[in-house]
Amino acid sequence: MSDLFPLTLTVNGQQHQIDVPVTLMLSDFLRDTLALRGTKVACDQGACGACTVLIDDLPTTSCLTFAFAAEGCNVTTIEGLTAADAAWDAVQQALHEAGAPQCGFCMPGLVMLTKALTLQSDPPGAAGWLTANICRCTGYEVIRRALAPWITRKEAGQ
Amino acid sequence: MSTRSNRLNQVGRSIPGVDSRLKLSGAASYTTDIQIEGMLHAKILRSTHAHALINAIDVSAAASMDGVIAIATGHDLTTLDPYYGTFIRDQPVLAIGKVRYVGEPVAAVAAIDEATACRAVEAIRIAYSDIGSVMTMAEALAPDAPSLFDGVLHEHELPPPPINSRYQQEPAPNILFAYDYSVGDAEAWWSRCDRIVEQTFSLARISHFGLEPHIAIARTHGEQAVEVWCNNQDPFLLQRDIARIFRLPLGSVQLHGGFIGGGFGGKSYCKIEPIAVLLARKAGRPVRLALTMAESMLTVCEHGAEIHLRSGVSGSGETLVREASVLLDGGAYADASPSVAMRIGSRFNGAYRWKALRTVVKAVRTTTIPAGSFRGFGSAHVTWASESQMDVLAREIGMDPCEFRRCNFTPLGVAGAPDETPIDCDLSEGLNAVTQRVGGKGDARIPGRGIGFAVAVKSAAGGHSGHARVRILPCGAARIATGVSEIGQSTRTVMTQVAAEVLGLMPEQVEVEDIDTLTTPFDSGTHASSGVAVSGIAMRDAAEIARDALLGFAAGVLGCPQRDLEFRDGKVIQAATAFTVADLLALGGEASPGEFTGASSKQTSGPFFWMPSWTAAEVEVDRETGVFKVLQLVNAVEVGTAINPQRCISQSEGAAVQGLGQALFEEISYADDMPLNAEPLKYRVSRSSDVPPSFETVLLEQGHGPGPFGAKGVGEAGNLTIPAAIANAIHDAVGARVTDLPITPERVLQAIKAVSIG
Repeated sequence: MSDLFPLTLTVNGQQHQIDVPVTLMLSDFLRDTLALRGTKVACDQGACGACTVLIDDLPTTSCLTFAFAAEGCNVTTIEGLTAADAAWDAVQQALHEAGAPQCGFCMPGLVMLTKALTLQSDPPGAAGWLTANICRCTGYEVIRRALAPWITRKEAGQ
Repeated sequence: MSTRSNRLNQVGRSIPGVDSRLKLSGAASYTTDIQIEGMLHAKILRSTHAHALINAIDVSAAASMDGVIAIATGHDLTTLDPYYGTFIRDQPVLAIGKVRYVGEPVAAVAAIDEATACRAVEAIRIAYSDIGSVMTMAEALAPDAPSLFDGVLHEHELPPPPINSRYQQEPAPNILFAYDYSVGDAEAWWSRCDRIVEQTFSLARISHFGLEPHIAIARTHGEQAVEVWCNNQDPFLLQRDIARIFRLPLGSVQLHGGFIGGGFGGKSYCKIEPIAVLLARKAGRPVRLALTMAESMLTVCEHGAEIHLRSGVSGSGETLVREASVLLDGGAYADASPSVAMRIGSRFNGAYRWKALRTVVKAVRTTTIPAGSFRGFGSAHVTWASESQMDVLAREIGMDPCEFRRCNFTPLGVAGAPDETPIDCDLSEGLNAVTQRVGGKGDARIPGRGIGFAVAVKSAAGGHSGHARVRILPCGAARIATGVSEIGQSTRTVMTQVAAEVLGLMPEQVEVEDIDTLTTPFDSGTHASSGVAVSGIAMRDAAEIARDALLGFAAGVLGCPQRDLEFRDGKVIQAATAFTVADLLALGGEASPGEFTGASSKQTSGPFFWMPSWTAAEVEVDRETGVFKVLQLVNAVEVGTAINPQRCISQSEGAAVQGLGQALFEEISYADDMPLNAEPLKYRVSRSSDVPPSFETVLLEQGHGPGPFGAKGVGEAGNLTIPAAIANAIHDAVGARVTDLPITPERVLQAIKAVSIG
């Protein structure tokens, strides 16, 4: 069996202290250990962004991140986004009204990526952020339209 | 023109998906999210040899590992009926005595966790002896090539061939299926042609790349029953396969279907699910078999192909005769290749009238990933060759490419070929729509820029059977059920709108049930854009039956004619009085039926509707390097009546960008026997930065659809015309013709050089 690492981290505002195998990926920790299955694992190689969560407000592919790498960090998943505000996030509302989800498997990762963008004060290349994530269903157009206000605002440095 | 009536309340509304909030909040449950108590985790050992005999399998080291509960190999299949495939059942659940491609499942392990299963799989030793691979169709068809199968494996009951055609199973070594189609007297018409063009085209093997990899969780209930959770697009077909393979009564095989993370044909028909069942039976515990996406890419792909196409026209530009000879790379196993071959063979008329057509399609076996169904079911192959050649023909006779197409379109109401159903669409309207929107406004030509067009007509929803059930509950709300899987095409939303329209309910008052093959009405599978058009009719009719049952009952208890009653917003309205369903049921006393149910079904044979699409593309090409940019894409689709216009446009946009990937860069390559890029990190699909700066979709509703409220399906329309429109635009820009997909800068440069040398 793998060695264990004594992990202390905060997930969606709740602190956890738990021994995890050093080989455990953050995506598996979130989905299997904490039963937060809103985070989706698709390519499992860091290529598609479906598993994106926030670590200290930065977007991170959780399938390529060891759980121990989040030691002492604040992790936010799609469940945290909805619960923390006790309301539907504005990013989610915009994607909902635009009719963005088709199969929907990429959507939690896309929402988290966009949420991270909104949290950055001066993100580099805001328009390029969406290229990080793959959606095989929509052709991106409906997503681009829905998220245009945030991207425009961030490109203008607001 | 639209037949939409002003009285429609729910049909024609662009409501967000009924499952949109679940999907955006992470609460939507896909098969990968399902936990079954006590379940084990499985991994597959895959062949590292392209074509080899299995001399020995040693599982002893794996079996002795802590936490390993069950190991399955081909030896476990001897008492079963272990082969599957559409029409031709040649693919074993696990390799039996022989492997036929790198990636083929050879053994599988169920263990207490995935890491243990991975270690155990690595500890299994297989002794192979190579018998010679055939990695390309040319190699497979060479004299003395090693044969994947010796003669006809099984005699199968093939359905009768479509009209004007015949076919043959395993006519020659490494040819699994051959299909011939012929109408008119080709010989006579060739002699009357003024211009003849002959070219060879090719398409690369590509991947579906649905984001949720294949997954199945199996749980047995004694020896005779099994329960499976999976993300298959065809749960009822798979139910039959599992029952046959394991010799179980059909009613003892229960499949659950939830949300599916992308299909595109890659999750059609039987895939890896029987392996999970096999392990669960051996282990006596539930087993979860979750592939990685890389494994999914080794499970099924879209056919590569070579198409030799020859067309002849009269001096005035009338399309006269066409002959096509197609080699379809089916990979190691049949999967859906026979049906894809038939669709390709019978559709080379495209959008046009011909006096004679003759095609021969051969599905070839190679020692590569099995090819199956893919969005368009062969129409992408036909359209790439046909629409490229239509451009060449137009230039040969000095006609404008759009004018040439318009002159030869099959007119609305006329059959495209003898004994076919008439075209249910005005094809000119779509071409006009995209030509009006593409390119600059009357400017002089900009050097290096060009515009190209393509038109496709796909036969859709043929041979489909869809059932539906509607229940009106005492609270006035409705529950609806069909066997159409939600793969992102919005079937739940559209079925909700159809039922809500008939029942006078708001979408929020309609609940769609999850699929359970023991209780959900049958559906023959989520493909061929059948959901709305065929199963949607069953849904409309079922809703009418349920509504009429309610109103008939209400008329009885209220003592009035049924025609004086209306069901609206969950209540029965009689003049100024509204009765709840519960009130009426109470009034009925002992004679009350408890609730009101409607069930109906719809079957189709032959093409049920025609799914057209049109593309105009503008490109800019660098003559020195062959690098080009797609500046503009205008796509048009025609859906009869849009039940939900936004969902139709979004489907078409997604298909277009998938087609853009096929046009520009998608290809699964091999180096010798090994796949080079059959994994997500190395396989290029479209990203948001690939979408052209100008990208527009035109939604046409001509109102001739045979589905509910005049609807047609649209799922396979938007991608078909993208590659040919781009190739035609490149030709328009620099006079060079690319005939191989993907259209790489290297190929463009080669074509430019060929012209300047030529």
